[in-house]
Amino acid sequence: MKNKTEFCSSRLRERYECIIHKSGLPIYVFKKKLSTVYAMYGTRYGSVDSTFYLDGKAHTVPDGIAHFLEHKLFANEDGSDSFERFSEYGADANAYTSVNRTVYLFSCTDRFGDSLRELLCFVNHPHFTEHNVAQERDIIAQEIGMYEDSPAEACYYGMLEGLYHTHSVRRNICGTLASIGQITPDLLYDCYHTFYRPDNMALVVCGDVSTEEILTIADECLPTDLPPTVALRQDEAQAEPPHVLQSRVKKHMQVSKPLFNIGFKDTDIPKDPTARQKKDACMAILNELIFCRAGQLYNELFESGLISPELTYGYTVTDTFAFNAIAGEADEPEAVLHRIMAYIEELRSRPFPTEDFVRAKRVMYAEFVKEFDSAEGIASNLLGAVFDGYELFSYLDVLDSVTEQDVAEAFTHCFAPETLTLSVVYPTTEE
Amino acid sequence: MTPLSLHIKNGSPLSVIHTDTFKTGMLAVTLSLPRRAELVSASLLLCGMLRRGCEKYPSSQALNRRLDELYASFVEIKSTHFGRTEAIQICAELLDSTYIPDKTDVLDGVCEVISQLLLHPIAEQNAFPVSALEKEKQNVCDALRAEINNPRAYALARCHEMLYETDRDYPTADELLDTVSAMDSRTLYDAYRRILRDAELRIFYVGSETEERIVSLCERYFGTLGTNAVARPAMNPERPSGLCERTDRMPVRQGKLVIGFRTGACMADADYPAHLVANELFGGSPASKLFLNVRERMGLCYHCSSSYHALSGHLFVCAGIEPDKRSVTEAEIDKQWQATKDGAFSEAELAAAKLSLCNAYRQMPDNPFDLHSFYTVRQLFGIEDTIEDTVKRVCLVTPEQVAAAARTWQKDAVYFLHGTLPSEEGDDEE
Repeated sequence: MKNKTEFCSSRLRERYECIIHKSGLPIYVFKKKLSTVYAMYGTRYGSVDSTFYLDGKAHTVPDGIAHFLEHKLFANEDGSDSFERFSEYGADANAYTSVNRTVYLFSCTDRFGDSLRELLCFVNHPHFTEHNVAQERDIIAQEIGMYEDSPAEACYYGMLEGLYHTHSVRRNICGTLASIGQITPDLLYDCYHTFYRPDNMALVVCGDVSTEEILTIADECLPTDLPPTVALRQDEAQAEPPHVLQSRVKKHMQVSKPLFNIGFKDTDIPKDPTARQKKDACMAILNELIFCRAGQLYNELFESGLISPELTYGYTVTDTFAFNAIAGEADEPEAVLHRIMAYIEELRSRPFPTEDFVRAKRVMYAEFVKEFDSAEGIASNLLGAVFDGYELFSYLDVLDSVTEQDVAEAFTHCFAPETLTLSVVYPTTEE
Repeated sequence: MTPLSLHIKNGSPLSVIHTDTFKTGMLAVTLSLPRRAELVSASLLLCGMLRRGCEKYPSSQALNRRLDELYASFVEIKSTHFGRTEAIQICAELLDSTYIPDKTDVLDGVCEVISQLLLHPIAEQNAFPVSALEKEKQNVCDALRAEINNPRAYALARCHEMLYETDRDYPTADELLDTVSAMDSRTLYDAYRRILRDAELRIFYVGSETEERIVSLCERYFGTLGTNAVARPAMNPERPSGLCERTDRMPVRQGKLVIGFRTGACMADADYPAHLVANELFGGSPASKLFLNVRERMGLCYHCSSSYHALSGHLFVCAGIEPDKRSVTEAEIDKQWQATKDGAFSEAELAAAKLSLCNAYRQMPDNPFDLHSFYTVRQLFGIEDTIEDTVKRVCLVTPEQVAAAARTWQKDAVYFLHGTLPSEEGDDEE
């Protein structure tokens, strides 16, 4: 088959293939002997794409429009809803919008072909009217209300609002009641035609499937006559200074105990996806060395009663923004931050023990291998790798290639005080 | 994938699903006893105390280091209940030996860790260390109080409490706060010894190791535990007590409406599949009556769904709504319930509900933890159905059985969390 590339990993004992369909859509097929088939059809279009350039002209659209579009795409011209059609086939369908992608998905154990046909058809046939847009506005308003009542969400967004001066990542994916009030069918069509194009999208299928069946359905459902349109994204990384907008963000909500998110902004983002992948691996190891439950810091914080048992941490990197985040619950978040920063200073003067580095790499290896047990996990990670611009299996080699020196070097550029925001949600009764 | 039923030498049941489908294996050790209020608070505290370490791994740090050495093996100790059976479960997820690049024997290591945690906790003179217990009491109380961080879960928990109002084996969160705070280290240690002595032990394994090796490891590490066969209390002995309503006000934006029903039917009952299908058709999926009418047609909410709890026989409807839309939402939920009771649903609606359930059941063999959940609960109550048996029973449900099931539901509790904040007005500060 032309335009077909195969990828395999002897260590994982897995393989997948990529076929570039004549429409321009890359189709990834990961064969796996499971009962479940999981399919994801995604576009590189998310909440940060509220300004884009088309034919040299800047377009700014209301916040939350990518998410609104995701909701409304399930409506069909004949008045039916694609959720109902998936139900007829026994499939479980859903969709989500993140900062930089929108994904439509289903899982099924039977009638895969019918569900795939439905997925490709409804995503390629938008139907927006004044009436159905107005109707969806009420539902999304309730979704916004639900998230507004989530202290964890408020704390996380508080961190992003503190870290970033202008980058759209600081704004809520769903938008606001005011911004969704500005969304019209015409704006939805503009965004749709700009970003929902085969060469800006990917289809990933994982399960016990036939590539031939997938390609036959793709031939039936995918448009092949779209004129080329290239939308340029706003390069928001350029405008974002290394220091944070606010070092402290406080909110008051209905919580039993203060929640905190500590964010460290990183503006040193490699342009090359492979270099970004390596940085991601370095940061994952570094975080493991500093914050893991087997480490000194976590256990000091826990045993001294400074934090509740749950402490999460993770590094997020995209092509336009990156940050490291630590989240938990504590009566005195400032004291937790103080201890973390003091510990980091202590670490600056001594190298990480080699045995800890080896252990951290072992943990990262095991966590990665474990991801290959579920069709959902595989499809999701594969789509993520495709959109981030690297090959999925390469992570193991990249992980192998990370040296103690790499991590030490990454450490010297991290955790600077001017890059930090502490976001806290305090109980409403507490000052 | 159905489990092979074995026993280790002490007589305890061991279920093994031998498969090379997964890159991870799972091992679960379940200790179960009839539920009593005092056991609930003791179990909550014990899980935290056991997680703090044991004689061989005397701190949380030492324990976590060992688990990291075992290729990031994950060991969770949790307190749970299956209807009126209280259980402490230790579940482990471990990398399959095929993917271990060195000689580390992860399965042996994980069995050893679980055995150490369970059998050799840190204790002095028949009591847990007082300082550790005080910290753990704080953690458990913090977790109980943290219910208010999630208004949806908070509202559901209050409705749940309303259904169990007169049942002393189901303490409220406030009652648990009191009993947990009052627990002393010797009483808790006594409870721990009683659990080890009286509880029924069950072990479940999914993975690529041979049955012989699993039996041998379990006998080596868990063979000294009890062989008790515990008499199971009835799943749902409660009687409907009439409708009660309660409204609380909270400074949040969205109201949460939760309606609690008693269905009178549990997993062991003949009409269990009919209740499953009736729930799915009523509010269990995006093709359900509640989703299509309350959300899609009327735009009253983002989420409105029902869930059927097959071990208690309870069914809950939850919706997040504008506080002033409570009456219209409740009226529409009642209308859709009435339609379900009247059999006013199409063949397509019924087929969609069955397919949705069958799809969910047929996905279970793809996840070791789902297999464990499905089979362990059935084993506890002597139900011999396999996943495929359940699928077959679901497929055989008739429209009349669905309507009949919905007619047995009794609406017993309505809880409304009235949000008092206006939309999009924050009190942020810099």
